[in-house]
Amino acid sequence: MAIFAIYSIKGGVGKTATTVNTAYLCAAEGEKTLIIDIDPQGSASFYFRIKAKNKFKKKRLLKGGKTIDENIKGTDYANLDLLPSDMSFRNLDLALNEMKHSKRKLKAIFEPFKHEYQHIFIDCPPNITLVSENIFNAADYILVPLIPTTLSLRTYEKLRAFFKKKKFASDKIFAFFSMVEKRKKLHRDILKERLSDSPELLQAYIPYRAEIERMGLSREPVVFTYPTSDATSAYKKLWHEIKSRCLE
Amino acid sequence: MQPIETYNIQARTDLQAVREKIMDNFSTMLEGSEKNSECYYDTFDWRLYQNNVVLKQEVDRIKLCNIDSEQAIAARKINIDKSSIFWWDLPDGALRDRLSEILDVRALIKRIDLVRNVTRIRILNEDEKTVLRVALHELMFDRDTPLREEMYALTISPVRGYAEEHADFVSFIESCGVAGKAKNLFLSMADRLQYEVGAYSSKIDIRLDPSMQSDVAVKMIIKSLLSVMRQNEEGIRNDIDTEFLHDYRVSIRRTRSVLSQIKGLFLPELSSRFRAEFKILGNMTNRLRDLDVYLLNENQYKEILPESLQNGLDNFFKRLKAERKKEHDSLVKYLDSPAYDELMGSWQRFLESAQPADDSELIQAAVPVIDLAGEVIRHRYAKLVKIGQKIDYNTPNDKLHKLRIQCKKLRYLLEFFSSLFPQENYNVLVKRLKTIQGTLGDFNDYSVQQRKLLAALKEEDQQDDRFYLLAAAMGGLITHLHHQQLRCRETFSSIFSEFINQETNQLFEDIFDQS
Ligand SMILES: Nc1ncnc2c1ncn2[C@@H]1O[C@H](COP(=O)(O)OP(=O)(O)OP(=O)(O)O)[C@@H](O)[C@H]1O
Ligand SMILES: [Mg+2]
Repeated sequence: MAIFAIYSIKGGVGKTATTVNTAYLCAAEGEKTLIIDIDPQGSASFYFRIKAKNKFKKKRLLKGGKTIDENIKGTDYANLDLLPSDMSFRNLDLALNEMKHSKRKLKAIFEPFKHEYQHIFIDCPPNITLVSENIFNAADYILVPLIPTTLSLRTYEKLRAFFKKKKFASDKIFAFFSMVEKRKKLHRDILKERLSDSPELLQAYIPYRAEIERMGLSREPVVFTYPTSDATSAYKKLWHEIKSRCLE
Repeated sequence: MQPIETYNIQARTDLQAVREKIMDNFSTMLEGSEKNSECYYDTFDWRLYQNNVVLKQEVDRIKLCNIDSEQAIAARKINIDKSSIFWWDLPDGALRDRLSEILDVRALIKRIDLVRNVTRIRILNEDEKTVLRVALHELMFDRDTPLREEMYALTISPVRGYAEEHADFVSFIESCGVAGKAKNLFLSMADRLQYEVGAYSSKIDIRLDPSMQSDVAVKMIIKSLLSVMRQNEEGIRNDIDTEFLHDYRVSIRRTRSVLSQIKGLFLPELSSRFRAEFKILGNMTNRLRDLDVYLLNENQYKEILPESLQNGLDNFFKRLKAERKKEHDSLVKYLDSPAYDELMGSWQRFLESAQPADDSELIQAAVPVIDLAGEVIRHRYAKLVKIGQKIDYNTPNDKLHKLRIQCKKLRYLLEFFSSLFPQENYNVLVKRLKTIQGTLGDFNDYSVQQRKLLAALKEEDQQDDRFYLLAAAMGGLITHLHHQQLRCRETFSSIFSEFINQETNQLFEDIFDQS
């Protein structure tokens, strides 16, 4: 049993694409899997064609228990369920701020799902502040997609520094390269240097592929639509490595 | 996990019509059709069903599923392709473990054998999200015979979080002229094949009316015992598992117990004739049962012994197996003989015959059964208390043996007449009795096993060059059993004094008070 948070301060780095595809692979292996979409934009929910009930409001989420349970929806794939996002998650930061023990609140809310699901994937929105610490508490592992640019690497270093400062275990963080374009020299150089120098980084990486971009149209995980594609084998490698680094 | 809804459908044309109606009224996605053979297994006494699970052999794997949700609990890639198997025939793993808990020594028997042609359709919402799944089943039973029994059904599997869509769809289907709702597909199939699922039980379950005449009531009890015997004959013949013989023997013992404990109901000469006949019948099965118990204990015996001695038993068990085969053959021969037929026939005729009118010997026959029951049970209890009061740490073993017999007799009476008395107190009483019977039973078992092992050793060929190994292994076992027996003995006097006490007396008075 593990809770994975797919997290990055930066937007558009492939968090949701990673969540959708690794969670799908996990479920396809027969493990009961839950995706929790806490991004108010609801991209993960969108990919699974799932809408939240209108009544599902942020205050309700923070109560946890039954309300969340009623809002979980089955995806079209065996063993894979999803807790949809809701526009009101936009104010999650504010709401958490008003509460006691606000930094551990999400952990407490997600706790009961550990009984029903073997693995939980949390798709995080970018730019979250208070929610971040909640996520770091709730998750067993933080998966961080990195686009191979200098700026990206700097924010990653910042995240590690933040973990140190706040005394979170930094070995929970597993970063990997995402949207890698081999034809760009910078990408090639960074990959070459970092994959040999930074042992904490995952070796598997996700290349930049048109099939992944098209997920917005097909509204299906790319590993389902194109099971033999390059993109699929990259996600499989990634999931395999995550399992062997985190779960074994 | 949400249960699957099952609807029976009358004919193939109806199935087609329902399918068209679904396609016309909903946004759907046809997932396709598949045709596969399947077998369902359960024990003679439907243990899987009683535990809300089904065991299904699919093409290349065997699956244990929840009966209502069809969610797999454990699965294994294997094709057993046999008419019956035991859990210990399966490879190690979750499936075997789960089955061992449910089945104990009972064999799984192939119950339903079919070819299933299933068409799966998804119902979609406006986002083309699947909100529920429908399956249309054409089931053809008994795939080896030319005469094919067919059946049609529709099942609806909900998708979590789409309850409204599900409710809408269910009411749509119910308006489509389906033949009726079934509890689940398994029961629906079993129904079609005229299985009385869950019907067999070796437990006594007869509703008696307190004012019934005693002879009528007791005949009812005996008839149900006879029915259990007859239901087990086939399983004994086919040697499916050891429980058939076990249940058969228990019914013989119960029958003998009724005849000996309750007097004044039937003509004494008839009653003693049948008592004698059933005693002989029981004895004829003794050796086979002994051998069954040995063989069931084989692994346990080996586990008791150090590895160096375990092989010592191999030849011994080999010989037991051979002997068992002979014993079984001769019992089956007897069951197939005219003599057995005649015994069962005359017994049956006796049970169905009218009582001789106004015979002065049948003094209890017309007494209301509740009075008779109260009397015999009180009488038995008094005897038990009398023997039991003298029990202490030094009581010799044969006294304990007598006590065990009394307990058993009382237990049988309590079972026969259970329906006549208020259940609450009665169950407390039976539970207490069960506890001491358990200890006494274990005690007796350990002593019988020791005696029998020693006797078996004497029969062995002492010139055999591996005799020493067998003797050492037997010595080890007997010593172990002896220690177990002593441990039982230590706990017994305290357990028994907990049974025979004020509280139990009070319970008896409350239940069986004469007034
Ligand atoms: N490896 C890839 N190759 C090509 N396109 C990709 C790849 N990964 C993601 N994309 C596309 O890039 C866009 C952003 O990806 P995604 O939504 O997964 O990122 P995100 O980090 O979740 O974004 P946000 O921060 O907005 O939540 C999407 O249109 C997605 O289809
Ligand atoms: Mg996203």
